Amino acid sequence: MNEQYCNQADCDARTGCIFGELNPSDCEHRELGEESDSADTDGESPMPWHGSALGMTELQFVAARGRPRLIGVIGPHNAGKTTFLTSLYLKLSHGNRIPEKIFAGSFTLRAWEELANNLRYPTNSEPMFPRHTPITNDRVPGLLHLAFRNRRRRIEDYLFSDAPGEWFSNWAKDRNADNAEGARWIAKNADEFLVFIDSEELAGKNCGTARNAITSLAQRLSDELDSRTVRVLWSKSDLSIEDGIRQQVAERLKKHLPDAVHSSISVNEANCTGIQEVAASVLSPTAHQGRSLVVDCQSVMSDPFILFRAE
Amino acid sequence: MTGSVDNRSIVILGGPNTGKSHYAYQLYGRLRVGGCDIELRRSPDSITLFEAGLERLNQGLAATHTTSNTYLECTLPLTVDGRSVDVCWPDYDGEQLYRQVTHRRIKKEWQHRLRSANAWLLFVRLTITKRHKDILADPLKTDIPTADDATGKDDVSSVNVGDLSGQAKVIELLQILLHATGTDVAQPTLWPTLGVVVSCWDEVCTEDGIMPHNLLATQAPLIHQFLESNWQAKSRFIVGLSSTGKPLSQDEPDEGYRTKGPESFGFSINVDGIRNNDLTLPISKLLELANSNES
Repeated sequence: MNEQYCNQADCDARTGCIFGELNPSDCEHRELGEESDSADTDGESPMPWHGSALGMTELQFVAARGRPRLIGVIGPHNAGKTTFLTSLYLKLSHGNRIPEKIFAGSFTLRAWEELANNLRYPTNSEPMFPRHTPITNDRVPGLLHLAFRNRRRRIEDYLFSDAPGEWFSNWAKDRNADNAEGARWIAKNADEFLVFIDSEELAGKNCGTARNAITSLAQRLSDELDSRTVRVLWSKSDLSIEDGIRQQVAERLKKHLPDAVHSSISVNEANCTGIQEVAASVLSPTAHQGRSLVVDCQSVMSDPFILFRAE
Repeated sequence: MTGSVDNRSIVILGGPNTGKSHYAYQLYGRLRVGGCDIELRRSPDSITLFEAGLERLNQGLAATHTTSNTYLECTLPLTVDGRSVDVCWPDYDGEQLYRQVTHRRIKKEWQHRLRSANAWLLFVRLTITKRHKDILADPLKTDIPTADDATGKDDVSSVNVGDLSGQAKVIELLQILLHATGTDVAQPTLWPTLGVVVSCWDEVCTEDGIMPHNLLATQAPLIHQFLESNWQAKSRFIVGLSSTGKPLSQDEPDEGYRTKGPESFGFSINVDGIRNNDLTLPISKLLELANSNES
């Protein structure tokens, strides 16, 4: 019998579309026909994660085993958000440990590796900073997952949002912007925020525009903060910002985000000490449990039994 | 001699070229000539699983890779610590396992094997899993472009599960197998007893006295932490192994192997870093641990 199946080897519509379609039959990768290995899939349970950044469906799986702590990584385009996340993973894979915790796994290894491969020396081209996170109209950002086991031998799940900077720029300008739904989701659900300040922009000829954008974003975030932790990360800190500009930006951040802890980070820094310190502080909170995540899937995707029957 | 016979099943895990088959051939070769902690009680009913590989080794040549999509088993009638133990030994191509990981579906028969096994033995070859250099560990002095600007170049970042870097690939394999067997890791697990074999030891460590778990922690820290995190200390161990003692060629016969026999080569490294010529060490340790965990 000809049925719809996904032509992507890693996708199983029974557990959700890996491209984020709420209704898998709407996905462009669905085709009519018989799945090539359908005869072999009898009795095989598909895994509830596919290794790419988590969407809403996989988030339910992670949320089911505890309360993951969501770190909202926010900042303008090209501010170094994804490079920071990549560096975090690479340092872990080099053996840098988070104090009093042991790495316990990740459901987004493929996504982490995809990012990490950019900073590795391949045989056919030079290393490159990761590709900018593509702009989409998704309702939620891609979430990168890391699990650690703490001293009490419990699992702690951490989720890092990896969202395009344009979402935050749109959100800073207009809280209700159509193309900022993902930014609003992060602002609502994150347990803490990493706000990226692009030193390169502040050190360049667009410093005025950058200062203005930072101010708008900080102001917008302050309205939503509700006493959640904010860390301000001055990325690309090896680049020198003119003192006057730095002072102005620091003052505006102080006004809108008075309790924020500031750190300087750069991949060019010896041993990436700043990145490691930030990673250690983000991943070592006393209260690791996140707030209750709102996982609002449409009904057909929210119930695996209904979903299975629908197939 | 009368007495009961324990039936034990071991699942051998590891990707392609991690040394699973060479170990099987060398292990059987050693058992056949005796002098190890573990001994054969009698000949196995069939030795077809080992025969071709042993023949190659006796010629001084590396064995050929296991044929794709095959899964064979052989029951080894052993004496372990004076007890009669029949161990079901599997042989398969490593691609077969990783194909399932790539497709994220573990076949029913594999689920059954994994669930019913008394212990898992995982082969990790560090020359495959070792990390690539990157700009954090080895900074460049030049400006680094952004991948968006690299038009027309190969997309180096695109990753299939099958292409995951060594460490990530092993971790994903274990995560998937734990999930497929319904193993709860909310707390570190006792089952399955897991032996980790750092294979082809001669490729990665020429120093004496290096403890295998230290080598793994240094060269594959994420794997090491993942094991430490998800298995109870009493249900895991890490040993080193060089089944052949030195690299063998597919077409240039090794004179020593031809004249002295493959049984004269190969060694294991115990958990304390002590080198041991007994290649049965990983199995005896695995059976001992599985036995104590089950009792």
